[in-house]
Amino acid sequence: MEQETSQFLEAVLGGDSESEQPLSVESIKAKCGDGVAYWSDLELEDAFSAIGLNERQIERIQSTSQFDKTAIIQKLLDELSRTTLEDGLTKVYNRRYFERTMESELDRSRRDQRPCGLVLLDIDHFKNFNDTYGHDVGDLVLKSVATTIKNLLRSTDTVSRVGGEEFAIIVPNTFRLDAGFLAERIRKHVEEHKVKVDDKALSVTISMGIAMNDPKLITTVDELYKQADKALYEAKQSGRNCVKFSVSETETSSSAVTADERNELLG
Amino acid sequence: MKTIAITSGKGGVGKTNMAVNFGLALANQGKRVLIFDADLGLANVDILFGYSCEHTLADVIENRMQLTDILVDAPDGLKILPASSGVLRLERLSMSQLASLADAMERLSSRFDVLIIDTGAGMTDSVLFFSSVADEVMLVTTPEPTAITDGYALVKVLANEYEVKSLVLLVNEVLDNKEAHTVHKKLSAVCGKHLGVEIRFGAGILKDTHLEKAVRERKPVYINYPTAPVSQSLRNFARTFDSVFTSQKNELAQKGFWNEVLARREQQ
Repeated sequence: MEQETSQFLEAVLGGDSESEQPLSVESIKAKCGDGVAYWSDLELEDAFSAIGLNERQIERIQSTSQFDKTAIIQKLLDELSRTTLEDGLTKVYNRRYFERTMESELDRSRRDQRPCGLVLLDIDHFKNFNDTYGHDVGDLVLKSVATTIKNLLRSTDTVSRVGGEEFAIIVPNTFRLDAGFLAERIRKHVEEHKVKVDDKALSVTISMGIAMNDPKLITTVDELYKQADKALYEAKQSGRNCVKFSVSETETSSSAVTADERNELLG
Repeated sequence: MKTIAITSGKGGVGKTNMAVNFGLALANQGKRVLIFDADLGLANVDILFGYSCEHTLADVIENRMQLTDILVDAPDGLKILPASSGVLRLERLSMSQLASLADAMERLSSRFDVLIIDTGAGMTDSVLFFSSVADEVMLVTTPEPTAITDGYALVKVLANEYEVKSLVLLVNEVLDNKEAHTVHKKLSAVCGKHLGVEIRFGAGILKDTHLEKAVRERKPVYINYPTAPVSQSLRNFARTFDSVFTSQKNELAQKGFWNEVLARREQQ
């Protein structure tokens, strides 16, 4: 990631990035904000050095027009958000992105009163790929599964790599059954498409666990993750290569008949 | 083809009897009807007809036979798609098996006007699945308090988790039509108020000892006692079919979502 960022700086700004200082989206945002076009040169210079640009790069930016400066900074911001929220190997999102997005999707689900689902999936016997064929092949398997998932998702779904061989798919605004179909589709696709490595074709399968939030209740990322993880565990227990739903107490309790409803029905 | 899932919150309200005899009444009036016996929990449609089915859905799911090969003939051109008892539990079918089953049934759509799915009672995944993919859900209840509250509980789950927003109500074993309307009024009010679900009145079916008699004779009451009160109620109900079952597809996102996924795959 570090290397990619510096390559990017070179591409955008020309010249090399000598600075070892780590860049962060937050620090640039804090420095630049939205009104970057109105900054004085001195302020800009401070901001640039704060995000770790070297003098030559700063000079280059200084000599461009105000308009280009804004564009350059925007590009920098975009690139940095990407590299800090992306998993380097598989190019899907990383855990940090997952946690943020899951939280905001749960908020949104409550606001819109539409359920949101979390699908956790794990590559079956992943260790065997590494042990038998080496880590390069293991990496290829990870990449291949990540690509499959990405291709089968709807535009509003996101997939993140949240662990070694574990991925999390956020399915916003989705009912239980549809989340099930989506998961099943992915599972089947992975099972049916072998990963080709050199002259070998490797069979890969995945296990999946699904948890749905109840938009009427407050569910934390942690709680939902635990539920999905439990379902994933069940999928592993029942022979792998399958999809399991979490049966949450919250889910059923909100659909239980309340005393009021009962009285009105029978009164 | 119009698909109707017949379901109930509680077992023993006459759901399967209603499915079979309503199907017969519809067939008798010239509709091409297929009954899918998806209720593996308790009674089987084939037992009510006095048939024993050689091949069942298990053969289809395990790819030994085509869906069309296992259809059983009943009077008036009515066909039955038998499930198997015991061996295969529909509740245990995976998502993909359920989906391919739904696909297979969709392929029958040119051959039938009405597909009646006799789902199990209660809230198993398969009941909920069929209720959510059908054009219409018909809830069967009796005037009994537990049947009403269990029915309501099912409507609540269907509304909350499967986006079912409208159902047809059949009140079985009523003493008169007034009782059926009283039950409908209550359910409809509570469902509307708490769930935003519309309950449309389907029919009240009179309590009738002929039904039990026919069950013991292993023949549908509509065949053995066509003039009995219960058969007449169902005949009248069947006449209103086109005006009662007007929904094309409930709001389940399945279809739209499914198309999107398929489209994406085709692009690849």
